[in-house]
Amino acid sequence: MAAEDAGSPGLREQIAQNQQTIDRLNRDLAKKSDQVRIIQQISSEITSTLDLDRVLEIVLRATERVLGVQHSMILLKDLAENTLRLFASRGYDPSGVGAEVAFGEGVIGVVAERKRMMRVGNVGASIAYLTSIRARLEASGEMAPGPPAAKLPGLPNVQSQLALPLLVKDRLVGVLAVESPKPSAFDELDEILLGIVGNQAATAIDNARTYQLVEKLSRLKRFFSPQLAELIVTGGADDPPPRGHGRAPRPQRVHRIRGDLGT
Amino acid sequence: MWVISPATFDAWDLELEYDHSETSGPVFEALDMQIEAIASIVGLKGIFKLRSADIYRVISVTKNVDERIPLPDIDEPPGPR
Repeated sequence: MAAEDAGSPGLREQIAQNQQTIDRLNRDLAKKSDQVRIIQQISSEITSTLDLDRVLEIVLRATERVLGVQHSMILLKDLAENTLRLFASRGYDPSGVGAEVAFGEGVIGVVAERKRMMRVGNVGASIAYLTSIRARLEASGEMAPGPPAAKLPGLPNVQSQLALPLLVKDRLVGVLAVESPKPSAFDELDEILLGIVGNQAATAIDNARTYQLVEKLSRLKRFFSPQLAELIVTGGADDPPPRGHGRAPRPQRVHRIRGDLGT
Repeated sequence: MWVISPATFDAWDLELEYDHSETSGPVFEALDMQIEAIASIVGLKGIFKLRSADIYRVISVTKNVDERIPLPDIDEPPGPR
Protein backbone atom coordinates (compact mmCIF):
# COMPACT_ATOMS: atom_id res chain seq x y z
CA MET A 1 0.00 0.00 0.00
CA ALA A 2 2.80 2.36 0.84
CA ALA A 3 4.52 1.60 -2.47
CA GLU A 4 1.36 2.40 -4.44
CA ASP A 5 0.79 5.69 -2.67
CA ALA A 6 4.40 6.78 -2.47
CA GLY A 7 3.95 9.30 -5.23
CA SER A 8 0.58 10.63 -4.10
CA PRO A 9 0.51 14.28 -3.01
CA GLY A 10 -1.25 13.32 0.23
CA LEU A 11 1.54 11.02 1.34
CA ARG A 12 4.29 13.41 0.33
CA GLU A 13 2.60 16.11 2.30
CA GLN A 14 2.43 13.71 5.24
CA ILE A 15 6.17 12.96 4.95
CA ALA A 16 6.98 16.66 4.79
CA GLN A 17 4.85 17.25 7.87
CA ASN A 18 6.58 14.43 9.74
CA GLN A 19 9.95 15.89 8.82
CA GLN A 20 8.83 19.26 10.18
CA THR A 21 7.76 17.58 13.42
CA ILE A 22 11.13 15.82 13.71
CA ASP A 23 12.96 19.10 13.05
CA ARG A 24 10.90 20.85 15.71
CA LEU A 25 11.55 18.08 18.25
CA ASN A 26 15.26 18.27 17.48
CA ARG A 27 15.25 22.01 18.02
CA ASP A 28 13.34 21.54 21.29
CA LEU A 29 15.87 18.93 22.40
CA ALA A 30 18.80 21.18 21.54
CA LYS A 31 17.17 24.01 23.49
CA LYS A 32 16.66 21.73 26.49
CA SER A 33 20.23 20.48 26.61
CA ASP A 34 21.31 24.10 26.28
CA GLN A 35 19.17 24.96 29.31
CA VAL A 36 20.67 22.13 31.35
CA ARG A 37 24.17 23.31 30.43
CA ILE A 38 23.41 26.91 31.44
CA ILE A 39 21.94 25.75 34.75
CA GLN A 40 25.09 23.71 35.46
CA GLN A 41 27.17 26.76 34.61
CA ILE A 42 25.26 29.00 37.01
CA SER A 43 25.93 26.81 39.99
CA SER A 44 29.69 27.05 39.51
CA GLU A 45 29.65 30.77 38.58
CA ILE A 46 27.36 31.78 41.39
CA THR A 47 29.42 30.22 44.15
CA SER A 48 32.64 31.78 42.83
CA THR A 49 31.96 35.20 44.33
CA LEU A 50 30.61 36.85 47.48
CA ASP A 51 30.08 40.20 45.82
CA LEU A 52 26.33 40.92 45.98
CA ASP A 53 26.13 42.99 42.78
CA ARG A 54 28.08 40.35 40.91
CA VAL A 55 25.83 37.54 42.21
CA LEU A 56 22.69 39.45 41.17
CA GLU A 57 24.18 40.08 37.73
CA ILE A 58 24.97 36.36 37.28
CA VAL A 59 21.47 35.36 38.35
CA LEU A 60 19.76 37.81 35.99
CA ARG A 61 21.96 36.87 33.04
CA ALA A 62 21.31 33.18 33.66
CA THR A 63 17.57 33.80 33.95
CA GLU A 64 17.61 35.71 30.69
CA ARG A 65 19.40 32.91 28.86
CA VAL A 66 17.53 29.95 30.34
CA LEU A 67 14.06 31.44 29.89
CA GLY A 68 14.77 33.54 26.80
CA VAL A 69 13.36 36.65 28.48
CA GLN A 70 14.43 40.26 28.03
CA HIS A 71 13.05 41.76 31.21
CA SER A 72 14.09 40.45 34.61
CA MET A 73 14.58 41.89 38.07
CA ILE A 74 15.57 40.99 41.59
CA LEU A 75 14.04 42.59 44.65
CA LEU A 76 15.47 41.94 48.09
CA LYS A 77 13.59 41.99 51.34
CA ASP A 78 14.40 44.85 53.65
CA LEU A 79 16.31 43.44 56.60
CA ALA A 80 14.05 45.02 59.20
CA GLU A 81 10.69 45.58 57.51
CA ASN A 82 8.27 43.73 55.29
CA THR A 83 9.07 45.65 52.13
CA LEU A 84 11.05 44.79 49.02
CA ARG A 85 13.56 46.96 47.24
CA LEU A 86 14.66 46.58 43.63
CA PHE A 87 18.38 45.76 43.69
CA ALA A 88 19.10 44.75 40.10
CA SER A 89 17.31 44.57 36.76
CA ARG A 90 17.94 43.81 33.11
CA GLY A 91 16.00 45.14 30.16
CA TYR A 92 14.53 48.25 31.79
CA ASP A 93 15.18 51.89 31.06
CA PRO A 94 15.49 53.40 33.61
CA SER A 95 16.62 50.41 35.64
CA GLY A 96 14.20 51.14 38.47
CA VAL A 97 16.83 50.19 41.05
CA GLY A 98 15.86 51.51 44.47
CA ALA A 99 12.11 51.28 43.87
CA GLU A 100 10.15 49.87 46.77
CA VAL A 101 7.32 47.35 46.78
CA ALA A 102 5.23 46.72 49.89
CA PHE A 103 4.30 43.18 50.83
CA GLY A 104 0.93 42.27 49.33
CA GLU A 105 1.20 44.87 46.59
CA GLY A 106 0.97 43.64 43.02
CA VAL A 107 2.21 40.29 41.72
CA ILE A 108 5.65 40.65 43.32
CA GLY A 109 4.29 41.87 46.66
CA VAL A 110 1.79 39.02 46.91
CA VAL A 111 4.49 36.48 46.00
CA ALA A 112 6.61 37.86 48.85
CA GLU A 113 3.72 37.75 51.30
CA ARG A 114 2.62 34.21 50.43
CA LYS A 115 6.08 32.85 49.65
CA ARG A 116 4.68 31.13 46.57
CA MET A 117 5.47 31.41 42.89
CA MET A 118 2.93 33.20 40.71
CA ARG A 119 2.42 33.15 36.95
CA VAL A 120 0.02 35.59 35.32
CA GLY A 121 -0.53 35.70 31.56
CA ASN A 122 -2.88 38.65 31.18
CA VAL A 123 -1.84 41.32 33.66
CA GLY A 124 -2.80 44.28 31.47
CA ALA A 125 -6.20 42.89 30.54
CA SER A 126 -6.96 42.00 34.17
CA ILE A 127 -5.97 45.46 35.36
CA ALA A 128 -8.15 47.06 32.67
CA TYR A 129 -11.07 44.85 33.74
CA LEU A 130 -10.79 45.63 37.46
CA THR A 131 -10.18 49.31 36.74
CA SER A 132 -13.50 49.50 34.90
CA ILE A 133 -15.23 47.69 37.79
CA ARG A 134 -13.75 50.19 40.19
CA ALA A 135 -14.88 53.10 38.03
CA ARG A 136 -18.42 51.70 38.09
CA LEU A 137 -18.33 51.23 41.88
CA GLU A 138 -17.15 54.80 42.29
CA ALA A 139 -19.75 56.15 39.85
CA SER A 140 -22.60 54.40 41.68
CA GLY A 141 -21.32 55.68 45.01
CA GLU A 142 -20.68 52.16 46.35
CA MET A 143 -17.07 53.05 46.82
CA ALA A 144 -15.30 56.26 47.65
CA PRO A 145 -12.89 57.47 44.98
CA GLY A 146 -9.45 56.41 46.06
CA PRO A 147 -5.88 56.90 44.98
CA PRO A 148 -4.99 55.81 41.43
CA ALA A 149 -3.28 52.52 40.66
CA ALA A 150 -0.08 51.90 42.59
CA LYS A 151 3.11 52.67 40.71
CA LEU A 152 5.09 49.45 40.67
CA PRO A 153 8.45 48.78 39.06
CA GLY A 154 8.27 46.94 35.75
CA LEU A 155 7.18 47.27 32.15
CA PRO A 156 4.40 49.83 31.63
CA ASN A 157 2.79 47.49 29.07
CA VAL A 158 3.34 44.23 30.98
CA GLN A 159 1.05 41.32 30.09
CA SER A 160 2.91 38.30 31.45
CA GLN A 161 4.67 38.00 34.76
CA LEU A 162 6.36 35.11 36.49
CA ALA A 163 7.58 35.83 40.01
CA LEU A 164 9.42 33.47 42.32
CA PRO A 165 10.03 33.91 46.04
CA LEU A 166 13.73 33.47 46.88
CA LEU A 167 13.72 31.35 50.00
CA VAL A 168 16.48 30.04 52.24
CA LYS A 169 14.77 27.30 54.21
CA ASP A 170 11.50 29.12 54.81
CA ARG A 171 12.96 32.62 55.15
CA LEU A 172 12.24 35.11 52.38
CA VAL A 173 15.36 36.68 50.89
CA GLY A 174 13.69 38.40 47.95
CA VAL A 175 11.76 37.94 44.72
CA LEU A 176 13.06 37.08 41.26
CA ALA A 177 10.64 38.24 38.55
CA VAL A 178 10.51 38.07 34.76
CA GLU A 179 8.10 39.98 32.54
CA SER A 180 6.92 40.17 28.98
CA PRO A 181 4.69 42.56 27.05
CA LYS A 182 3.23 39.48 25.30
CA PRO A 183 0.23 37.70 26.82
CA SER A 184 0.69 34.15 28.18
CA ALA A 185 4.43 34.30 27.53
CA PHE A 186 5.31 31.81 30.27
CA ASP A 187 4.29 28.22 30.89
CA GLU A 188 4.83 25.41 33.41
CA LEU A 189 8.30 24.65 32.06
CA ASP A 190 9.34 28.25 32.68
CA GLU A 191 8.15 27.84 36.28
CA ILE A 192 10.37 24.78 36.71
CA LEU A 193 13.40 26.46 35.11
CA LEU A 194 13.01 29.67 37.11
CA GLY A 195 12.61 27.54 40.23
CA ILE A 196 15.96 25.82 39.60
CA VAL A 197 17.76 29.12 39.01
CA GLY A 198 16.01 30.66 42.01
CA ASN A 199 16.97 27.90 44.43
CA GLN A 200 20.64 28.48 43.77
CA ALA A 201 20.20 32.23 43.63
CA ALA A 202 18.55 32.48 47.05
CA THR A 203 21.42 30.86 48.93
CA ALA A 204 24.10 32.75 47.01
CA ILE A 205 22.35 36.10 47.49
CA ASP A 206 21.82 35.41 51.17
CA ASN A 207 25.48 34.50 51.66
CA ALA A 208 26.67 37.60 49.77
CA ARG A 209 24.38 39.81 51.82
CA THR A 210 25.55 38.33 55.11
CA TYR A 211 29.15 38.77 53.98
CA GLN A 212 28.43 42.41 53.13
CA LEU A 213 27.05 42.96 56.65
CA VAL A 214 29.97 41.24 58.34
CA GLU A 215 32.31 43.46 56.31
CA LYS A 216 30.44 46.52 57.50
CA LEU A 217 30.71 45.34 61.08
CA SER A 218 34.45 44.79 60.81
CA ARG A 219 34.87 48.26 59.28
CA LEU A 220 32.94 49.67 62.22
CA LYS A 221 35.29 47.90 64.60
CA ARG A 222 38.19 49.87 63.16
CA PHE A 223 36.59 53.11 64.27
CA PHE A 224 35.05 51.97 67.52
CA SER A 225 36.20 49.63 70.22
CA PRO A 226 34.88 46.09 69.69
CA GLN A 227 32.64 46.60 72.71
CA LEU A 228 31.14 49.76 71.24
CA ALA A 229 30.73 48.17 67.82
CA GLU A 230 28.90 45.27 69.43
CA LEU A 231 26.79 47.73 71.36
CA ILE A 232 25.86 49.54 68.16
CA VAL A 233 25.16 46.20 66.52
CA THR A 234 22.76 45.22 69.25
CA GLY A 235 21.16 48.63 69.06
CA GLY A 236 21.83 49.26 72.75
CA ALA A 237 19.94 46.16 73.82
CA ASP A 238 20.36 45.13 77.46
CA ASP A 239 21.70 41.74 76.55
CA PRO A 240 24.42 42.08 73.92
CA PRO A 241 25.67 38.87 72.30
CA PRO A 242 29.02 37.49 73.48
CA ARG A 243 31.72 39.38 71.62
CA GLY A 244 34.74 38.31 69.66
CA HIS A 245 33.52 34.98 68.35
CA GLY A 246 33.26 35.99 64.72
CA ARG A 247 29.55 35.36 64.88
CA ALA A 248 27.47 36.69 62.00
CA PRO A 249 25.48 39.66 63.27
CA ARG A 250 21.73 39.51 63.37
CA PRO A 251 20.83 41.30 60.14
CA GLN A 252 18.17 43.67 61.54
CA ARG A 253 20.57 44.98 64.17
CA VAL A 254 23.20 45.84 61.62
CA HIS A 255 20.59 47.61 59.56
CA ARG A 256 20.17 49.98 62.50
CA ILE A 257 23.86 50.76 62.38
CA ARG A 258 23.49 51.88 58.81
CA GLY A 259 20.66 54.16 59.85
CA ASP A 260 22.62 55.52 62.81
CA LEU A 261 25.64 56.38 60.73
CA GLY A 262 23.61 57.69 57.86
CA THR A 263 25.46 55.59 55.31
CA MET B 1 -20.08 26.87 28.34
CA TRP B 2 -18.74 29.35 25.83
CA VAL B 3 -15.14 30.50 26.18
CA ILE B 4 -12.87 32.77 24.16
CA SER B 5 -9.20 31.99 23.72
CA PRO B 6 -7.28 34.92 25.18
CA ALA B 7 -4.55 34.45 22.58
CA THR B 8 -6.51 34.15 19.33
CA PHE B 9 -10.02 35.26 20.40
CA ASP B 10 -11.37 32.06 18.86
CA ALA B 11 -14.65 30.98 20.41
CA TRP B 12 -15.00 27.47 21.80
CA ASP B 13 -17.99 25.54 23.11
CA LEU B 14 -17.13 23.37 26.10
CA GLU B 15 -19.41 20.67 27.39
CA LEU B 16 -18.69 20.41 31.08
CA GLU B 17 -19.65 18.20 33.98
CA TYR B 18 -19.27 19.52 37.52
CA ASP B 19 -16.77 17.49 39.51
CA HIS B 20 -16.01 19.23 42.82
CA SER B 21 -15.15 22.53 44.50
CA GLU B 22 -11.84 23.38 46.14
CA THR B 23 -11.35 25.94 48.89
CA SER B 24 -7.64 25.25 49.39
CA GLY B 25 -4.77 23.61 47.54
CA PRO B 26 -2.57 24.68 44.64
CA VAL B 27 -5.34 25.56 42.15
CA PHE B 28 -7.32 27.60 44.66
CA GLU B 29 -4.18 29.30 45.96
CA ALA B 30 -2.95 30.22 42.47
CA LEU B 31 -6.29 31.80 41.51
CA ASP B 32 -6.61 33.56 44.86
CA MET B 33 -3.10 35.03 44.57
CA GLN B 34 -3.79 36.33 41.06
CA ILE B 35 -6.99 38.05 42.14
CA GLU B 36 -5.29 39.62 45.13
CA ALA B 37 -2.29 40.76 43.07
CA ILE B 38 -4.31 42.46 40.35
CA ALA B 39 -6.85 43.91 42.83
CA SER B 40 -4.05 45.44 44.90
CA ILE B 41 -2.67 47.19 41.81
CA VAL B 42 -5.98 48.98 41.09
CA GLY B 43 -6.63 49.78 44.76
CA LEU B 44 -9.28 47.11 45.32
CA LYS B 45 -7.29 44.96 47.71
CA GLY B 46 -9.43 42.75 49.94
CA ILE B 47 -12.64 43.55 48.07
CA PHE B 48 -12.66 40.45 45.89
CA LYS B 49 -12.64 37.24 47.87
CA LEU B 50 -12.30 33.91 46.12
CA ARG B 51 -14.83 31.53 47.70
CA SER B 52 -13.98 28.38 45.80
CA ALA B 53 -12.43 26.96 42.65
CA ASP B 54 -14.94 24.74 40.86
CA ILE B 55 -13.38 21.87 38.98
CA TYR B 56 -15.22 20.53 35.91
CA ARG B 57 -14.67 17.52 33.71
CA VAL B 58 -14.49 18.52 30.04
CA ILE B 59 -16.76 16.22 28.04
CA SER B 60 -16.25 17.82 24.64
CA VAL B 61 -14.63 20.79 22.96
CA THR B 62 -16.03 22.27 19.76
CA LYS B 63 -14.73 25.28 17.91
CA ASN B 64 -17.56 27.74 17.56
CA VAL B 65 -16.93 28.98 14.03
CA ASP B 66 -19.94 31.30 13.93
CA GLU B 67 -18.81 33.30 16.92
CA ARG B 68 -15.29 33.95 15.69
CA ILE B 69 -14.40 37.60 15.98
CA PRO B 70 -12.42 38.67 12.92
CA LEU B 71 -9.07 40.14 13.87
CA PRO B 72 -6.29 41.69 11.84
CA ASP B 73 -3.32 39.42 11.26
CA ILE B 74 -1.22 39.89 14.37
CA ASP B 75 1.07 36.90 13.94
CA GLU B 76 4.47 37.84 15.23
CA PRO B 77 7.68 36.13 14.24
CA PRO B 78 9.09 33.81 16.91
CA GLY B 79 11.84 35.46 18.84
CA PRO B 80 12.85 36.59 22.30
CA ARG B 81 10.02 37.47 24.63
